[in-house]
Amino acid sequence: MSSNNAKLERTLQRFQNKIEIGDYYEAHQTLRTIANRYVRGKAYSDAIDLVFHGAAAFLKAKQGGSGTDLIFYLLEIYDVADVRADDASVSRLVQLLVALNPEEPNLRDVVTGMNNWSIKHGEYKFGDPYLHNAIGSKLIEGGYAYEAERYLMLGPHESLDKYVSFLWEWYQQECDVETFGDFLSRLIFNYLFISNIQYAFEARDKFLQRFIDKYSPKVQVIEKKNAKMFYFEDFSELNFLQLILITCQTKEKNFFNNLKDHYANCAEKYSAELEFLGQEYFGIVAQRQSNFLQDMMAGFLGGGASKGLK
Amino acid sequence: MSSPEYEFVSKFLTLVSISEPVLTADYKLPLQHVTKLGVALPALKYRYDFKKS
Repeated sequence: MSSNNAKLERTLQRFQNKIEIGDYYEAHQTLRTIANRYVRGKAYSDAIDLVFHGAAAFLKAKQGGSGTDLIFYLLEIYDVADVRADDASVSRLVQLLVALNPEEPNLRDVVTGMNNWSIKHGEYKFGDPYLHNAIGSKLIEGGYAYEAERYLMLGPHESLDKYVSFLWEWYQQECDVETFGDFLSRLIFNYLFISNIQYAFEARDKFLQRFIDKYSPKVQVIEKKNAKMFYFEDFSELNFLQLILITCQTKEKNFFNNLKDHYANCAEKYSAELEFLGQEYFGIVAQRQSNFLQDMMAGFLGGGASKGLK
Repeated sequence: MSSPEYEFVSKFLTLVSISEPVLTADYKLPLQHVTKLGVALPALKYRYDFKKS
């Protein structure tokens, strides 16, 4: 260990002592001053060590304000030091997230800051998957259901079980059997949107199995050479959603159109989702919602009336 | 169990099964290559109550 690290150790020890006696303000100020000095001297790894441990200690002592302030500071240092999103750098953020109180008022700003850094300094357009997994869990605890879902769908494999359990819990809160399709559709569509056939099937199996175990609906497994599904006698929406998944695998436009014709109600209910899948899997160019020439004519005639008719 | 829907599903799966799927059941686009998230799904009919769980 270099003498520099020994000095860092001593600084951290003094800091820790101040936290223990409840001298939070003094601890916070001192730590920031020393970290600033490291940053100015471009001793980034020492600055990161110091700020990370400081943030962790504040969160442990239930000092959310100081803790999150230091998290933002850590992200600033990550940014100026051009720290890549890798196991070590992401793992620090995950540890801080785990320690964070889900009721922290700026929880969403914290997770957004973390994710934005991982977008800028990583190879994922939407951010690091392991970070997403931790963010998703924390957002569920904080009650940010839809935000949590976005992160979990873009997480690693362990996020899949979390996503399925979370939707199942949500479904169980009202247990209105008619809405089960709405819940299943989220898993199927979200995974299809990001071209993850494997997770779509796994999520389907796990989610439907819970439904079957709990309610014992009339169900039969239909299995052909390359395709298998749970056929529900009384829930045709569940059949439709499974068939959509199987059809996307084929990338065959005729099957897709045939399926939509047969399940006209479902096709209407999910028209926006199907339009996107039509483009992505079947090369169907979306019809323009308005007629260009008509709009232009309406414009000339001082109208814009055609807009109101849609 | 031979409702019209059952007949349709069974035939549909047979037809779909004639050739190998273009995207196998274990296919997934690596997350590094994901550039689109699709369309936003509508809100569910009731709110998630995180205090219940």
